[in-house]
Amino acid sequence: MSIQTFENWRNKPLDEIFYECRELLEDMSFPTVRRWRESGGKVIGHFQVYFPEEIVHAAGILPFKVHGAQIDAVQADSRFGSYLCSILKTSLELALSKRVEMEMFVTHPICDAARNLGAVWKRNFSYPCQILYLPQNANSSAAVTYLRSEYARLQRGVEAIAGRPIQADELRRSIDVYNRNRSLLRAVYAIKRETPWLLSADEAYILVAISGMMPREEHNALLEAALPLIAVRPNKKQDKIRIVFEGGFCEQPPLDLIRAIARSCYVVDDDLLIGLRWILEDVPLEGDPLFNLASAYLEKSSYSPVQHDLRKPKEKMLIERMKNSRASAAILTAAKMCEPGLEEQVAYLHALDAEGIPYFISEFEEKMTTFDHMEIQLETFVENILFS
Amino acid sequence: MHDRQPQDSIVGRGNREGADLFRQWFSELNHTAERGEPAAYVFVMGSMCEILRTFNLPVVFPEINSLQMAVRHVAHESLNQAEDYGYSPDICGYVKADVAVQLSGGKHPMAASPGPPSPC
Repeated sequence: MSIQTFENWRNKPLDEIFYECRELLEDMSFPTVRRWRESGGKVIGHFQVYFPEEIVHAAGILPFKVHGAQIDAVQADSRFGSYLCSILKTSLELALSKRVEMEMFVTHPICDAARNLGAVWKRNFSYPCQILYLPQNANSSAAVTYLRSEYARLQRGVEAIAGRPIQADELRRSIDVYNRNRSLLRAVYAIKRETPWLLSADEAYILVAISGMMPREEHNALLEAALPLIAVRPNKKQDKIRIVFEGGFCEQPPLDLIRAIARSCYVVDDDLLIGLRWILEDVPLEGDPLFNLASAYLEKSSYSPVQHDLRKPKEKMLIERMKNSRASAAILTAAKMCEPGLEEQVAYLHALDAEGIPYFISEFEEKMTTFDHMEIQLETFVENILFS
Repeated sequence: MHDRQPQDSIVGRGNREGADLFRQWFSELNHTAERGEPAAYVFVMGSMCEILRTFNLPVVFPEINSLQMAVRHVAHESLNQAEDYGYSPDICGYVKADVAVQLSGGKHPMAASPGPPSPC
């Protein structure tokens, strides 16, 4: 199915491309999804963190990354306790308020709250709501085989929505499209790491985040056009410290918070929307595509507080991320009421203390609108590093 | 004023025998800790205790540990200890109370908590 959902950026200079992308990201009517549906397309929503979008894409259905929104949870508030994180409520609100309509929803047991999201969703909608059980024990020799069978179960559910079977070659073509996308996202992060003055943290975030709301071929075309323009930007290097931002794996900080950080720091690496960049290398096209996807999830992947792999202790992975990006400090954040994020912070700060790396601890909520206090604290933190 | 129920009365038997089972269970944990032997840390629900018992692994229920600390009015100090270590005030008190037990080498008001080499 070839439907163009986002054309506004074409034939425009880079600054206007960023403007159009930001407008799209902040448009809570989700025009790309709406255009897709108006053209007869179906949509499958999936909750954070990682989801094998290729399986949905291969069926000609639009995978939509549900990661909350800056909206008031008017209806969803009555479905959840007040002590839960915001992303759960605003994600459900997107569907209850019909901002995003879909044919199926998939969540994951990444935390107690997300595990129950599927059942809560199911009570409110007539379409299928599934839980995709990614392996709890990533170190078991059976993990890949198990995950392959989970993906096959998911595929059967997707086929029921599509009304037709998914052929192996269609899956391979989708993997190829996503391999290209992952390669382009790696190029975005290479710019952040090597020449961060060419691409601010908020600009990079916008480019990455909109991938979850449009066909991936369209996103590939956008990045293929934008990356060469970024490379020749006349921006000058500024006197900012290089930092790693950690804590954006599930609920997303407001874009203005990322922009506030970018005013005093070069964010040379981060875990924002890490699910979109979870697989670190190309997934092979030869052989069983589901097995290849399952293997890549476990063997060629990044890290987050919601995957427990003894080969990837999170605090060691953070130190590695900092060394690889030559960062001199870290910003450790967590969404309010996010137990996985807050728990991992403890391991992070002890590891950073042991390495003598300075860090700044903060907390955010997607609905935050003022950042003055945090920005002043961060500026003081930066000045301490710059002038000590 | 009520008369005390005799020990063989059916009234209160659940409490008495429940408390006795509790003491036996904590006593076993104490002995395990003293011998430096392993135990399995499990959730209360779905913990497959039968299989673990087959392998002579006593089970530790961190949720029950935390509950007992609250009942015995020693949770507050433990929560402070965990927060001093870095845990956020937003984190569930059960988790923090158990972290404090581990930070203090398994010290718990009911029994020494054996090490957790087998988290399930």
